[in-house]
Amino acid sequence: MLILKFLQSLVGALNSDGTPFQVGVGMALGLCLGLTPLMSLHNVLIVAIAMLTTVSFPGVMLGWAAAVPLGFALDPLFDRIGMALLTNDALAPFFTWLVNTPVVSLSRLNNSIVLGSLVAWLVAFVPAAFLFRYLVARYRVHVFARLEKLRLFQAIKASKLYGVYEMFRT
Amino acid sequence: MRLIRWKALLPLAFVLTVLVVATVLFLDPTVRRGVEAAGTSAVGAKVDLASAHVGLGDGNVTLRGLAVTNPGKPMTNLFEAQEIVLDVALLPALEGKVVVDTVAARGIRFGTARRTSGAIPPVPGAPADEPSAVRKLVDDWVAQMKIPPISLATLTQTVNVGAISAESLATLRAARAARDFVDTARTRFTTGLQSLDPRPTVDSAAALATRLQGASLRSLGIGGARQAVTDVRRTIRDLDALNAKLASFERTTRGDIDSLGDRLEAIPAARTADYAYAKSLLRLPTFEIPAIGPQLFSGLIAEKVGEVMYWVNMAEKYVPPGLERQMRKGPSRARASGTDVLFPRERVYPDFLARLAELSLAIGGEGAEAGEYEARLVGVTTQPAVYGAPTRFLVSRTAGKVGPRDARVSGSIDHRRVPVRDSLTARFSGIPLPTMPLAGLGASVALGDGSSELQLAREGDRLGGRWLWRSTTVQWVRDTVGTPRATTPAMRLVEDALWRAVSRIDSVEIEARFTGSVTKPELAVRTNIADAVAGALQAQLGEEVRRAEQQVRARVDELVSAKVAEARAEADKVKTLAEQRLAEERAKLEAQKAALEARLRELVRIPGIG
Repeated sequence: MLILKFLQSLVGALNSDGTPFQVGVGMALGLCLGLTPLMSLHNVLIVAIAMLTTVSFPGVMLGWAAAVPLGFALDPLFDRIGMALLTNDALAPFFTWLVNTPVVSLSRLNNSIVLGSLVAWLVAFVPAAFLFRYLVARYRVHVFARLEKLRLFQAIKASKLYGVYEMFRT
Repeated sequence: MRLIRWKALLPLAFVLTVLVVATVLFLDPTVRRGVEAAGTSAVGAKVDLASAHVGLGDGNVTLRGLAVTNPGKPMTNLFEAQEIVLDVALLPALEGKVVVDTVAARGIRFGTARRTSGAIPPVPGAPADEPSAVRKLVDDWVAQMKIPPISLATLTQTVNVGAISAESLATLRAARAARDFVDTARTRFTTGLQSLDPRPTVDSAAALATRLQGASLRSLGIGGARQAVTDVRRTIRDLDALNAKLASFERTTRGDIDSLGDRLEAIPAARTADYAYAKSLLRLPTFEIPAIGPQLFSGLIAEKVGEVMYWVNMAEKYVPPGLERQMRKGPSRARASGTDVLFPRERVYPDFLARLAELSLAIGGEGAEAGEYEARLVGVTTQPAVYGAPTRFLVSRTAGKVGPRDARVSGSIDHRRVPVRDSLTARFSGIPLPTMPLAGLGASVALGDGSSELQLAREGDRLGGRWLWRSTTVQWVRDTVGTPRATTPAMRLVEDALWRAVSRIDSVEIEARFTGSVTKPELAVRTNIADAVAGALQAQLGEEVRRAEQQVRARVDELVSAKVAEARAEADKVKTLAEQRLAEERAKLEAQKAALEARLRELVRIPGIG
């Protein structure tokens, strides 16, 4: 409960604006946390961007949660993408620089899974942001409007559980 | 719409601070687990570490209670170290690299017992009795180097020449090949002679010569004489052309005959090989001293060298040469490990480097290994091409109450470029040497205290080495006191003779030399024990073995003689046929040419014709 309250307050503080675009971009950013191995340097950057920009932070969480199982399932694909790039002779000078440069080398981009998943996410980022924006907009117009009229929903809305749901709505 | 959420700066700083604090708090256990995981992966058996402490201020890493399992003996540690202090450079750490300027270690003990097994648990689904990595490699080596021991059972058996199968003899195959080639050569000769078809040209020349027999200006007329000269000259040219073709055909035929000769000449060599093969089938003993050494000790020596080769292979696996892209398994995590691809280049820090390690090793107890040692390792790295220098090491004994009077191990690992060059020299004197069973003879020799010297050099796939044991205080043990191995009186006689011969020896020298390639090694063993064994075998069994060898040779001859004779006879026939036919054709051709040249000389004497 303490964690939920902390999250509520955090989200409350971070989400004053929650347009579908902000939620969509937030979810697309969150995909990175789920698709790529979590303990990676680039994910610190993603969290920093998610917190410092006005994208929807709950959207980031939702994107992350949705992408975690996807990340595990797609590991073999990421491995192949990563290996294809890492064994490409044309890119060898870049990777040689990358793995021999202080701090940058800590990104572990010479690992096939890290590189493959990051590249896959980068490619998917813009289309995913627009797709999520569209879906959120449709949800708010069609699904949420209907949900609001249900007695059960009103009862839930009055409960503390709704506080949790609210975090992910905006 | 504003883009930046400035009020999140504080929570972000808070989150980052939590991350940094958590990293610092969990750094020690992370390093401990990292050392255990990396060590276990590298050694092929469990590596345990009691604690690790990273001093961020001074860059010191202290490892306590390090225990490295011997991969060949999971209940024994290869070594234990009470404390190891590493002076780690901080700048390379920002590149994720470990560069250790100095290493100091104390309380190192070798071969200590473990409370639990240090074997790596088997992979789920793998067969329960799958051997360890070191066992697999040693078994491979033993399988390649081991030579069947002397078998006393076969020494005294009746020779069963019926076991020699005709189909397995190389002589028969050689004879059949020669026979088949006879047919090929005969067909080629016949076809060639037919396509050459010299008869029309020779007959035409004969007819012309006959027509011009006794011809004169009066009978031919001036025009007829001129035409006759032209015809004669043209026919002589045809005969010359035919002669050239015949010469070419003769060369081809001679080539076939020579080739047939080569095949026939290969038969005696095949027969010699068959004698050896048939003899090996019957497992007749050899009295040749160089052959007896490997029969006695190859298994044991292959086992010991195989253990050394395990570490040579480890060095090759973890210290790859050159600046080529290198691949290794990624880190263990909930997600798939993937592959880490390394891109080494010169004049940067290698992934791992210990510039200098000076270790003082104090080994306690009353055992032979007890004493004080010092070790110096220079340039230990996983990327020698990046570091640019070979790894060198030297371990020597400095003091000790018991155990070896002198112990010194030195060597280098030069993997900067292909071919890799590894060398190892280990010299021990006054150490307890192993008890060695004499394979197949029902006896063992306890070598007692003596000296051991190992020299191993490897360049690429080529291997060269020598392992020498010397002892002047040997003790002989007969293994069959309670349960005699000899099952027949003759066998017992031989065994007793061998025992008398070897048990008189009080000073033993065993020298194993290994050559060849890493994947296909060859072993030679020289020992004075072999001299004694050869002498005893010669005395006891020399006559019987000679008789058995004669029987084997006779049996081989019996199986192959008919086919060899047939091949030779057919070869002679085709050779005679070819030589005869070629001589006939050439004689006819030359006779006609001579006749025509005589006519021509007569015709050109006529005025106005020449």
